[in-house]
Amino acid sequence: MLWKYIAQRLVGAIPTLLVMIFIAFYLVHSAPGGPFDAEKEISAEVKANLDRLYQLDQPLHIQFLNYLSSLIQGDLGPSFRYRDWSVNDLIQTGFPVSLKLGVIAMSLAVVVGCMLGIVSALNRNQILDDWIRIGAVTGIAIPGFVVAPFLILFFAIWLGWLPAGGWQYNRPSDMLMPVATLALPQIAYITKLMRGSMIEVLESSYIRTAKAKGLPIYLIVLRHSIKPAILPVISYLGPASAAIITGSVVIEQIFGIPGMGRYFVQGAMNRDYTLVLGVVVLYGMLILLANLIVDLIYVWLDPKLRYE
Amino acid sequence: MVFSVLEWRTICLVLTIGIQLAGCNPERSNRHYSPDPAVLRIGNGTEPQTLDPHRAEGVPAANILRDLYEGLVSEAPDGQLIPGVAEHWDISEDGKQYRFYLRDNARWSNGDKLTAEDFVYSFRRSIDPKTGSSYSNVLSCIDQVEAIIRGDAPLSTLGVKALDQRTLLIQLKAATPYFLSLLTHSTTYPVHRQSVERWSGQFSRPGRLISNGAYVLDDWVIQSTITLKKNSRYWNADHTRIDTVVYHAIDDPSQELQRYWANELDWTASIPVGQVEWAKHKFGSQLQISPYLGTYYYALNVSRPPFKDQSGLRLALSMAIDRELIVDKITAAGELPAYHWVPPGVLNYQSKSSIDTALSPVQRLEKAKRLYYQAGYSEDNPLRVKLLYNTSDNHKRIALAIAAMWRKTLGVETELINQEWKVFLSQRKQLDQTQVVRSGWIADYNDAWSFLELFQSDHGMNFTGYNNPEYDALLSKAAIENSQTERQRVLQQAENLLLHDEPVIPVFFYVSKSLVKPWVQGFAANVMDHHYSKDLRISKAGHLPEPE
Repeated sequence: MLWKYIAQRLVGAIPTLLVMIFIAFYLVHSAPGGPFDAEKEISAEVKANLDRLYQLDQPLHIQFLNYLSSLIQGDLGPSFRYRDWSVNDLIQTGFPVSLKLGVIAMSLAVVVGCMLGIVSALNRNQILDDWIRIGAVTGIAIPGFVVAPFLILFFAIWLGWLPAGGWQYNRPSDMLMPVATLALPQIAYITKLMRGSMIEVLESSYIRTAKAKGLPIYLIVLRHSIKPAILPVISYLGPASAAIITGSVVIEQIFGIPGMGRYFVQGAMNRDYTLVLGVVVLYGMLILLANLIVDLIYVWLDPKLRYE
Repeated sequence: MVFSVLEWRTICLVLTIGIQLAGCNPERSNRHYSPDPAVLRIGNGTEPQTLDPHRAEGVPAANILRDLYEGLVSEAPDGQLIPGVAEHWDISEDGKQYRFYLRDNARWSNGDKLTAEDFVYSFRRSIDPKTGSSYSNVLSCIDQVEAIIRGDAPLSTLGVKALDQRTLLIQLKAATPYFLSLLTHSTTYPVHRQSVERWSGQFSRPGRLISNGAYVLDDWVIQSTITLKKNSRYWNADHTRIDTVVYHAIDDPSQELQRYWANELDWTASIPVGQVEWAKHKFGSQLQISPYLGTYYYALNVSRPPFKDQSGLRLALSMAIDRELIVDKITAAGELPAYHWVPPGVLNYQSKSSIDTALSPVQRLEKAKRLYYQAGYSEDNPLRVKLLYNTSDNHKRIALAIAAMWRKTLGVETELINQEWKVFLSQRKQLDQTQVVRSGWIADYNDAWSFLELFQSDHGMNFTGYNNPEYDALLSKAAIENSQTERQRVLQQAENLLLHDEPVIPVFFYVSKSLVKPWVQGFAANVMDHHYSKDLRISKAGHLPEPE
């Protein structure tokens, strides 16, 4: 049943992916200016050679079909901008960086957010709850590109504890500020979600029964409340992964991290068609996959649902 | 969004600087900072497209290539030309033939001998349209280059020949006084034939790149860092003091400044717009500002109304600009107001012409008004122009100021149009649409030709539609002129004619701006802003100034 469901979902994702690639392909190609437009004009002969080399002299639909056929073979094409590298090379170096950043930020957001949410719900309408709620609203309201420069000023320039940017030696200290900035709004959202659903669960009749039985509160929370209360958080993980991905585009620029987000921005500005498409394809697949995983976890947690 | 991401970041930077100026200045870590004498960390702007010297473009790539490769001729820290791979050279009497004698100990980083044949191969590759070099045109002073680029002659006819292993002969079309300085340009660097052929073009990657300069490529993390290590096989390796040079790709000057401030960089590529005063206050003598061979200008499209056949109107617009105000209040980093086209500091050339600097500012404005009225415009019938610039805070401020000056003095109504860089690049070529286009030109080599050639009628960078046979004839004459004095005179005539016809409004001459830590020794300013890491060293004695 499970495998059939997964297979169905994966097959169903193919048309979505194709439509996405199609739209992205035509959008990047319709942007004015091309990859070889530069401050210094190149001669017509050289331009013609470059166009031929990168198949830009072909009609657009042929280029699209060529792109698809090499994509099926796992080849994302040469980068138009970084002439020594293929898009596969670039993704191989950039993706692990972004993945690390994203996974750590997401885990941090879930763990910290759930904990804060539970603490907040248990102390409902008390001072601690008020502070956590104020913190959550602030976390949602202040964008990363405002938080980041303040973190840099404080921790890198004044205290000198952390590097102001870069990802040079893969040190844990390089990751602290970007992860914190990226996770902050997600921690805030998850805290709010967890608090709300926890309060609802704590008010339900079976919890009242457990309380009446004299079960200590930590056992009530651990054994009986977390599982039902976490469902809204799980369903939020799909959009959250998308938010982490788009958030990393900004964070990677600010901290100078050589990840996919930076490729995407630079690729779009340089009209590096293949690089932009490569990032779109990969991120598209990731988001579809993340949604599938979330649905699977959801069904596992909620016995009322079935694979259908 | 009310503000763009970039604007937000600028706001944040200004805020943080505000807090700093307000007196909170702990900077505990900085006082104890001790530099590593073996490592130089350079902020280098955008990520280079490639480290293939024949296909690379732009200043960031050129900076790295200067460390990796060495051409026939090199430069001293002050910019003077010195022998590179060629130990010495002879120039024929007519100035058309150069004979270079290569060093016996010139080697590639893998130990192979560097021969004259390597240079022949490299020059041919650089010019071959198949390579896709955007700079092949700058070599057109060499015999047969233009015909080869057009496809009319085979590569083997190129005027670069190896007489023996150590002697290279270069035949020019005409005496070209700037030829030696051209040989410091990356497009003339030698490449290692076996590795180019083995990796079919994608050879400039770590583990593949074989170079002949003071450094070799050690590591390259795209969008992050390019690390170079000392090349022990370089002929003058004993004099290279810094073992490792790390180039950081940082496109945002604000981020670069933060990292410099946090002692993570020893040298920045730039300074954020509007922060020069603050940087002066904060970093004192670490701020390096020096003249740079470049002109910031507005190109006027003379091929269509309102500027077609209206040289008086064009001059009026030029004269109505208060350039002193722009360099004092807007750019504010010591730029020079530009009243002519070729910047000062160019070798063997002195601009003789100027846009009526003999007049007082008031007289100049009066003359501008008179010319404007003569062109048929008035308060009731104002000139309406479209000013196109690429999106950037700096260009916007300058455009706003100039539009205000035009409006105040003449009553011109200016529509400002900003476009993203690539859109701008394709738009500026559309002569049937443009009117005024913001531009800037940085010399590829130190010669007046590098500036004046732009306005030849068939030049690829001529976005004004300017087509004056007399101007073209003067440049053609200068191109084959053997006498330096006479050549200067002809070029001066051409510049004079250009300023008379006024298809271009020069606004200011650039300066190079960077921050250099006090422990970096051997740094010298030069008009091309070319620096070689091999000439630098890091001294532990260099200390940070006492915090205010």
